[in-house]
Amino acid sequence: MTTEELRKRLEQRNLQIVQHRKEYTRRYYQDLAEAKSKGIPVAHTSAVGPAELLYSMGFEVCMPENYCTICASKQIAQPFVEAAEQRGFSRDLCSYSRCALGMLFLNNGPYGALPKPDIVIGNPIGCDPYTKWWEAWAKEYQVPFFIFDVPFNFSGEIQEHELQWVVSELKRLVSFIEEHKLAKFDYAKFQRSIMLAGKAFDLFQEVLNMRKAIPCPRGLRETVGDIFYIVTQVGKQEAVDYMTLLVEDSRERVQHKIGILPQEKFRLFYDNIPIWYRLQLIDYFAQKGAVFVVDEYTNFVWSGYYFIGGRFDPEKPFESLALKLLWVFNNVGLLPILKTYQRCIAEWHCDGAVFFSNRSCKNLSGENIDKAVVLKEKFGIPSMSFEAEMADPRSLYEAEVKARIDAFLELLEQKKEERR
Amino acid sequence: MIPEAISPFQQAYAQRHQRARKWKEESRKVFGYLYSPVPEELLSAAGIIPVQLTESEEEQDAALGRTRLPDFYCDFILSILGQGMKGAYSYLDGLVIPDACNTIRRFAGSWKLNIPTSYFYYLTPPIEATQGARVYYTTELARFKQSLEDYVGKKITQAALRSAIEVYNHNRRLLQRLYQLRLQDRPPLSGSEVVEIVRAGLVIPKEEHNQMLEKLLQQIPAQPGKDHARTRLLASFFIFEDCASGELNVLKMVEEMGGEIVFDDLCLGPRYSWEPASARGDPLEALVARYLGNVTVSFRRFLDTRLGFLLEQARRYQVNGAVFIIPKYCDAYLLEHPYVEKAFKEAGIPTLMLETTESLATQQVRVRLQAFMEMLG
Repeated sequence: MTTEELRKRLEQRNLQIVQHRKEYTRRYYQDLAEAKSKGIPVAHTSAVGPAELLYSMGFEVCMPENYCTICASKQIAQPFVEAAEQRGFSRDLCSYSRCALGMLFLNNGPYGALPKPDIVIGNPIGCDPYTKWWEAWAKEYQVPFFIFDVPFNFSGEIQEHELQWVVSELKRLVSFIEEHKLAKFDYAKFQRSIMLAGKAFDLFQEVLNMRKAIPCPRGLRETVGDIFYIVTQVGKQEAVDYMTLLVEDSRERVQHKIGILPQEKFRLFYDNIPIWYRLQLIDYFAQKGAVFVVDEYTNFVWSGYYFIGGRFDPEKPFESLALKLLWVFNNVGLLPILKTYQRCIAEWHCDGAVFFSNRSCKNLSGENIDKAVVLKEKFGIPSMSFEAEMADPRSLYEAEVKARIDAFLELLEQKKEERR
Repeated sequence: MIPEAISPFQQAYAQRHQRARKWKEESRKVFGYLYSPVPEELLSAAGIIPVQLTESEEEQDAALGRTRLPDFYCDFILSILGQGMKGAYSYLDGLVIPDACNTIRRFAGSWKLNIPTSYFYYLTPPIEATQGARVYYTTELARFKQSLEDYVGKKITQAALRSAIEVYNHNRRLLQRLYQLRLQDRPPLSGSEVVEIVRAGLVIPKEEHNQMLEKLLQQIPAQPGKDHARTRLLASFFIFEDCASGELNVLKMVEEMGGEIVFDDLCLGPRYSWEPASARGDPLEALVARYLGNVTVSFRRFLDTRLGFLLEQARRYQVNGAVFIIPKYCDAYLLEHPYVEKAFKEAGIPTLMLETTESLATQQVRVRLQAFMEMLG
């Protein structure tokens, strides 16, 4: 088989993977919609779940945040964010929370309205809305609300008493669920769930490590879809199966040196959440030969514990889950984040970094300037930034962003020529 | 209240940086901190003067902060970072930051990266007083205490900690007396005066603040209140710098329009003074009990707790209306507000919400306040 033929076959397979994921996603939301009629309890949670624990207890886990990303990527977010604003929620608020509340108020969504939860679970890991949005959510649905508490991992050095506190919080969640007679805890099932989640994270990590290869076998445009499994399906066999497909695909690409782009000119680092309603901006980079080989959001926000070298131990399922939560990178301080960025730049051979100043995610965007300055001054890595919101399409001035991208890539080109 | 009685408090605040520099000349240690969850008693017992970081009146400080943090962060934190960057806080030996919101998390990282500070502690106070949280916080405060001891090079004795607790409890009692005066039909102190009195206590040693408060409280019985009953208002703020200094003076605007702020929930006001620590038993355990589950920052406490507290005070202080001043871009308070508004409406108390920025005291705010006051009659 010629290289061209192989490339075509791999492109075909990639399309099949996308198709598989889309069908699975639709089925997952369909299952969610039907859960109540089947007597299955439904938990609404933030994107950090903890899905592993809830699936093991027999819940269907619904993450409205994920529904917002689908809503935005289907270009239907605007009426929902506006519906929330009309009910007194400020336009300065996180656009996920506005979009989700709008879906709730209008009783609609990309695949119809979400099912009513039996419990809403928040936490302080992600950001302010991770406590307050879910509190509002529980009030709207008038169902029990639980917050599991987690300390902020400012220094990157987890102390034993911090870990044990998070373990106690997860156990308290189990008690809360049982006291409300929503589901029963089964230790063996929880262990199995942690084992499956660990396998999925391991495989995802393997793909990420293969992306160090030149040319890169998988880019941000692909991984923004992959994380559906890492976020919403952890603890299920389906996540393991999907990640296995990705590993096979990336392995073959690396073996035959067939990158995700036909011609890879620039390797970039991406910081922050993707712009769900204009993922074509990633394609715009790709058209100019730029591929995002590693990024903050898909690579270490959700599986940060694996990124720093941690691994789940099914013999210690509560501790494993607690460590994962402590290392969700929204919950990590600037100095350990900078160490991680340094690693990304060096190991993934990045030429530059792109910072999305996301007015909607104040937590992830807060230290953009510091990060960019450190990358430039310590590692000589140039960066560009642009401003918008992740799920509110009214916030993006696309022509302006494209002009910035053009200028940035020209600068990288010049730097390459100077090195030659 | 006669201006002379308030002026020592105003001066103490206005001269906060000069005074702190003088303490440094006297070889005393000065630490900065934010908000009410930091157990200052430990700092005080270690011989450290805790001073709360506050927003300055100079707009260029926030502008300087914006060279590091995004412009969609509240002016409060941008101003503090800007002041740190320009050296206004160069006298600080250390900084203690509580986990109060995502803005604070990112501010803390930026300060640590950019502003040399020899001691730095990030403290996460639990949301709920559960058994697991008690175990965690007992270890955490012991660890904090140990780190302070390592820094100052001497042990914090039980006696020193008990003594600090007593000083702080006394301060809380005096502040409560101040708030009780506002229950009267014609309170002898205006809301803006109370804010200035409370604020001074954040930047001077509590012993001194206690003396000033005692003197003030002795003077008060002789001072008559306003000669007629005014519209009684509750004001809910997250911070108060915006409204008590310079042109950004919403409280004074309200008072000029015939309103009387009889209660506020400034996180540094009654929320700061409400609960004493136990003077009995192990003092560190007393601090754990005092601070655990008593967190007042929005991000780390339940909305129903705040609502219950506010509505109870609204009834107790017999308010006719409530003004909510929320810093622009504050996700936690902005997400809560529609529910707060609804609860007040159900309780028959009209509300006005102002989303603040540097340009808070604009004509537009004045017009909205006027319309609100007219509506209350």
